[in-house]
Amino acid sequence: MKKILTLSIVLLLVFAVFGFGVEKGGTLTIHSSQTFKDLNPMVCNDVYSMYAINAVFDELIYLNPDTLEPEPYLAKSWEFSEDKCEITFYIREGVKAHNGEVINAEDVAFTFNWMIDPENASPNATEFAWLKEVQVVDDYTAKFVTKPDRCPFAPALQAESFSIVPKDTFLEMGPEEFNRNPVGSGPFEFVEWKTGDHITVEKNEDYWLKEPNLDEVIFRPIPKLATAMLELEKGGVDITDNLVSDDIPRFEEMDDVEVQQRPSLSYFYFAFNMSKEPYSNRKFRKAVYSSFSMDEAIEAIFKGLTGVRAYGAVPPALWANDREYLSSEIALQEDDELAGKLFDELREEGVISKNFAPTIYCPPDPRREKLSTIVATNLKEHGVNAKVQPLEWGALLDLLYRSEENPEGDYGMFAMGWSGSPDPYAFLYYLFTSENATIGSANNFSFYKDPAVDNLILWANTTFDMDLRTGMYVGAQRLIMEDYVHIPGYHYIETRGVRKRVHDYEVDPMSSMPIVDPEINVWVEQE
Amino acid sequence: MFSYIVRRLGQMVLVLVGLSILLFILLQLAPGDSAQIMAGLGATPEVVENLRVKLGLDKPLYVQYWRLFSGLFTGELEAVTFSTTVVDIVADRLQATVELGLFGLLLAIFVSIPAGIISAVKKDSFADYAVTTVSMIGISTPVFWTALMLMIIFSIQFDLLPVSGRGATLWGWSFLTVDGILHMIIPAVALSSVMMAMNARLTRSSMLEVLSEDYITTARSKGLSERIVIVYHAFRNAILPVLTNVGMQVGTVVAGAVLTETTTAWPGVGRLMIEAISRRDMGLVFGLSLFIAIFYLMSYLVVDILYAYVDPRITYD
Repeated sequence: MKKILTLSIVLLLVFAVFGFGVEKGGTLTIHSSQTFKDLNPMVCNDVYSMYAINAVFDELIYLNPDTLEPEPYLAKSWEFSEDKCEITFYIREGVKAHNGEVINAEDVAFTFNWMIDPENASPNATEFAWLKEVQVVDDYTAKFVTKPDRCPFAPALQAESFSIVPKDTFLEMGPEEFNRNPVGSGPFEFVEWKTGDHITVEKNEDYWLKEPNLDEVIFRPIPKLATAMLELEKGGVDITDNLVSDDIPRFEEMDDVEVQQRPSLSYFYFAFNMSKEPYSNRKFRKAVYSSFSMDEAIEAIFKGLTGVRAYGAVPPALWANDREYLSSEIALQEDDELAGKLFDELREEGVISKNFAPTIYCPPDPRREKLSTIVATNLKEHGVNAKVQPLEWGALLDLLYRSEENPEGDYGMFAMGWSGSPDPYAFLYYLFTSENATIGSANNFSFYKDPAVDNLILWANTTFDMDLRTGMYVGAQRLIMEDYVHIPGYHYIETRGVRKRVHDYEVDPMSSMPIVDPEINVWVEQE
Repeated sequence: MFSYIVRRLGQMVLVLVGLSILLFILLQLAPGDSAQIMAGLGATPEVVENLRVKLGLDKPLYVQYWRLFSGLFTGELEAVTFSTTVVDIVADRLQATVELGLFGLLLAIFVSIPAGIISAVKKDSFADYAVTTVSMIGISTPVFWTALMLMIIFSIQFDLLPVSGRGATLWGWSFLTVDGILHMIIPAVALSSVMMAMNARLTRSSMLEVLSEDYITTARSKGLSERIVIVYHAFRNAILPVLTNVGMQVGTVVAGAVLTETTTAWPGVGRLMIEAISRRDMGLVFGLSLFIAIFYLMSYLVVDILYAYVDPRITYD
């Protein structure tokens, strides 16, 4: 018995060390909910195109999906200057692009400098509003210099998880040609892009990190989710980037498909226009908040499957989310008596009229539409004749961004959402600071302006002391939530349908689609 | 006939110029800022402004219009979303649409017209009831539902056909490969279902009208066989309204069988138009709309020319 046990342990160790059982070769087909539009990482700002970009390019640093902490990738190490205003990256030697071009500090500097150059009008420049320039120190050393007015900037490192473009190849090909036939140094080489149909990439035999297990990966955009579900069932795709909630129990019972989930870095909310009466009145916001049950709304929308209730803007997967305090001390439960009393007082005070009939705006998204409808239905029970108006994205943003002619905006209540990089800054700075309450280009759609909140969020970006940062973000979030500027709605759970022939795949919390990285190397069982 | 065609082509140019102006005005009136939507949520005002300059949206309106209009004809008009020219991206996606539309249309014609004739000739018979009932169901059923049902039955239950996508192609055509043909069956049948139903009902009513005419009675009294009466005397006169309808359907399938293409993940121009609109790609929406208009106008011209061949009483000179 002892011998058998010892033998089993030895065999298990051998399997673990040498990866026996892993099959090399084969094709993996990945579904995307939307058509791909850019394969040039320097201009790409949609998560779907990033599926293919991540396969073709290498990133400067790797964000570990479990810890959300930066780890070495193309950069083997980095160090901050004493004043924390510069980060020096030491680039790995011997990495080559698929066409043989050597990847070095020139390419790193070029990639970032190209994006922040106004001439190139890259949408990604927003991510690097803090970056002054990237300097080449030597062949394998690049120095990132922060703008003096944004220095030091603690979340800077997270942003550098970015794909590096081989400079000479890009300049030779030009932006258009490079976008159609991208060349990177990643685990897979680009083969073809049939717009609207598929993108094919094949194994990079000389990949520096590890030999990819797969021969080929095909990315297929299938816009209709019901069709994608059938493809998953039949095996036309191996991984779907989304699942219909109602289908999850069915897939869970299947022998050859499994459902994989992971909390995402997203936040969806119901909010108020703080520039207009009665929405700027805290009593009104509290009355709306206590007129319905968010718990029941979330259950009705997600059936406990693909979303969890939010209590603050920072997702539970991130630090400084303060979920326990916000849920127990600040979040409101449905209290019809309180809501009725508050609405009566508001009528008596003349804040709202007896015929008050506000409109709730939301994007064309069934979940946010459902949330808005639940709020409107409950408000009607308190004599507030609210109606829901879903608007197409362009029209909705026009409304929420406001204009010089109408700086207060023609809206009162709305349901929106946000997703960001793995730092509380990415949520709190954009959604709640005065800097983002800009007419014509706001992200703080409530136009919430509180100097104390501004100071806390902006100070938190200037220190590298994690305890201090946490304290300041927690403090800011408590102030915001006590003011009921937002009624936090839900955090989405990234949900993938994965055929069981796929191994070593993990759902990424940042909505990416990793195939080969320091942690994983996806392989498929072949028939 | 030649002078008629030249005249019609001249009219088409005027229609296209008028349409391009109307289209440009509509694009200006549509809510949403192209630069803002392309820059995405969270974009700084500087980024949006840089993009606006790059897209030429900071220029006076007449300059913007001329850039779009002339760019389309010089082939330089950019589809910013895909970092390529409108001509290239349309060419890339048109083959798929033409192929699907043509097969769907042929299927509709070859099934619906004989069905409509049989239904009219055998009025009040089982065959008539069957054709009218099936065509009523065809008209009433949304295309996306038909497509999903076909997928569930033929792909999932019987494992006979692929679920979606275009499959393998040869020189860009699916019908030249077995895999491509198999991929095309569900979208083509779904697309043809509504056209089939409309054509069958139109053929039936048109045939019923013609069959009650005096010249049909005369033809029969001359002792002509029923087949000759139906095919040469009745059908030839009944085909004009069907021909008009088919002509309109040609335009419709090229304009984009949006629902069919979306449901079956078929990479055609219908889906491209939706993508262009949702991303506010002004150049692509402009170019694609004018291109579809050209196709519509051409299909109407061809139908008008065919009228003269089908019915010798119609002359254009």
